[in-house]
Amino acid sequence: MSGLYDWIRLTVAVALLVVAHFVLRPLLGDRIEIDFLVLALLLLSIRVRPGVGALLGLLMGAASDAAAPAGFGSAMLALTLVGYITSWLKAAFFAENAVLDGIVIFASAWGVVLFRLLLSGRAFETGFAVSALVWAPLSAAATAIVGALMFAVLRPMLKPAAA
Amino acid sequence: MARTSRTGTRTDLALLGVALTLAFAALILPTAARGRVQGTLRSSVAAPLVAAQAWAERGRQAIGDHGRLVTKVDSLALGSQASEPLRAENERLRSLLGLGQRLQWGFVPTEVVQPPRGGDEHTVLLAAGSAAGVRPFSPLIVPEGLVGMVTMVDASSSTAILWTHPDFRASATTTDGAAFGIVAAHLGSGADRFLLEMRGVPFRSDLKPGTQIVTSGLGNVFPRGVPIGVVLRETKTVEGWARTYLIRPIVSPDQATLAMVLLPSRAAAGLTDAWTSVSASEVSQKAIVQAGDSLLADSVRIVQARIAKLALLDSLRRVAIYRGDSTVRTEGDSLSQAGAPVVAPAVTAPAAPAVTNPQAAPAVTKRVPATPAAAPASAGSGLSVDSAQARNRSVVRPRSRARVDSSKLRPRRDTSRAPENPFRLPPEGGSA
Repeated sequence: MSGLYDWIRLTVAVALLVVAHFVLRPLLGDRIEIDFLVLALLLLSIRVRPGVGALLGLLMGAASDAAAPAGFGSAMLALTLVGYITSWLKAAFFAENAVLDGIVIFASAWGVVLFRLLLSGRAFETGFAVSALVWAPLSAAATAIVGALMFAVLRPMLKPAAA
Repeated sequence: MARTSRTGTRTDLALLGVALTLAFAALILPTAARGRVQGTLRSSVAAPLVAAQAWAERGRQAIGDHGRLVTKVDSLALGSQASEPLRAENERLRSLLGLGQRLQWGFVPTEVVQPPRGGDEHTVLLAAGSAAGVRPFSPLIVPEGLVGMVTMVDASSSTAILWTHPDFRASATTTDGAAFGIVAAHLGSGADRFLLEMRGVPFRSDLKPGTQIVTSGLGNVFPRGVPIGVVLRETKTVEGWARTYLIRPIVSPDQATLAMVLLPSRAAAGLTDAWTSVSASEVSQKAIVQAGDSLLADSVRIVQARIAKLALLDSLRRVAIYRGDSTVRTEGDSLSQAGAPVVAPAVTAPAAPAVTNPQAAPAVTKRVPATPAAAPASAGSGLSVDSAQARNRSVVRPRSRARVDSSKLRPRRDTSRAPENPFRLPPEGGSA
C-alpha cells in the first residue's frame, strides 16, 4: 500500500514536471531554459532498472522531439542515454548530498543540450560555440539549481528505491 | 543471485539496444518519413503537450507584444501632443492669410520673436524691420483685431508694445460712432490687469455691456475700424467730467505669435472692408441660421396640424364606430383620402362640430331611417333613435341622406324651442 502511494505521488510529480516543461519553460526565458524533462526522467530512472530507464528516456525524448521544430530523434537518443546511465549509477549518485545531485543534473542537462545541438545539424552554424559553451551550461546550471532545490525539499518522497 | 543480476543486465542491455535503435532510426529517417512520424506524434499522443506549448508561446509573445504596444501607444500620444500646436499654428496662419487677403496691400507679416514671457511682458520683438518697411508707430494687428504698436525699428527687427503696456493709448469709438474715448491698459491687479479701459467718454454716452469698441482713426496712428474689444461695465473714477468703461480686449497677448504690421501708407488709406466684411459674413451666417430656425418652426407647425387632423379623424371614426354610422365613416374616409392641406378650413370646419359635439352633426345621419317602413315606427314612438334603427345602421348608405323625409322626423321633437340646426335638410315641397 505504501509502495503504491509512493508511485502515485511520483507519477503526479513527474506529470507536473512534464507539464511544466511544455507550459512553464517557454514563459521563463528565451536563452536560458530549465529542462524539466530531465528532472522528471531523473526522478523516474532512479527508481527503475537501467533498461526501463532507457525506455522512459526514449518516450520522453519522443515527446520532446514531437514539439520541437527540428532535430527529430536527437532528444530521444540523449534522454535514452541519460535514463540508462542515471539508473545504472543510482547507487553512486543521489545520496543525501544536494551538491552531488546538482552536479548530476547539470551534467545530464548539458549533455542533452549538446546532443541536441550536435544531432540537429547545427554543429557548423555560426553561434554554435556560444550556444554549446555559454547558453547550454547556463541552462544546465539553472536546471541543476531547480532540481537540487526540488530534491532537497521533496527528499522523503523522492528517495530512490533500493537497488 | 549472481544469475539474476546477469539476467537483469542482459535485459537492461537489450532494452537499451532497442531504445537506441529506435532513436537512431528516428535520426536517420528521411525527411518526409520523419515529418510523417513527427506529425503523427503531434496529432495523437503528444497533442496535449504540443497545444500547451503553443499556448505558452502565445502567452510569451503577448507579453512581449504588450511592451511593444505600450511603447507604440506612448509614441502616438507624444505625436498627437506635438500635432496639436502644429494644428493651432496652421489655423493661426490660415486666419492671418485671410486677413492679408482682406487687406490686399500695405502690410508686413511678421513673427513675434520674443514672446511676452518674463522680463517686460508688455513688449515684444518683431522679426521685421525698416528693411521691410516697418516704421515707428505702425499698428500691430492680428486677424482678431489690434495688438499693439511699433515703437522702435532697426534694419531687421523692431520692437512693439502690446495693449497691456502702460504707455499704450489708442483713440477709440463705438462701431456706430456714438461715443469716443481713449483706450489704455487697465492697471488693475490679478485678472483685471489684462483688461482695457476706455476713458474720457462723455456723460451723455451711456454704453451698454457688449458694445463693440473699435479704433476711431483719430490721431493718424491707427486706422478706423480695427476691433479693440467689447464693453464690460462702467467703472468709478475720480474724474467727474467723463465716464470710464472697462473693456474686454478682443485679442489675448498670448495670440501675438504671428502678427501683421500695417504700413503707414496703408493705415492712412483706411481699412474699409478688413473687418466689416467679416462682420457682414457673421451677420449673414446668423441670418441663415435664423431662416433655418424659421423653416424648422414652420415644419413643426405643419406636423402639429397634421397630427391634430389625424386625431380629429380618429375621434370621428370612434364616434362613427360607437354609433354604428357608416355615413360618418365614409365622410372621414373621404377626408383622409382627399389629401387636402392639413390646415385647410374646408376640411376642419364641418368636421369639428361632429367631434366636439357628438349630438349635433351626427344627428343628420342618425335620424335617417334605414328603410321607409322603419320611419313611421320611429316617428310613432317619439324617440330619436330606437334600438331597431341602431341595429340597421350598418346598411345605411350616404346617399340615403338625400331621401330623408323631414316631415316624418319633425314631430319627434319640439322645433319651435330648439335652436335651428344648420345641417338639417329642408322638408320636401316646403321652405327651409
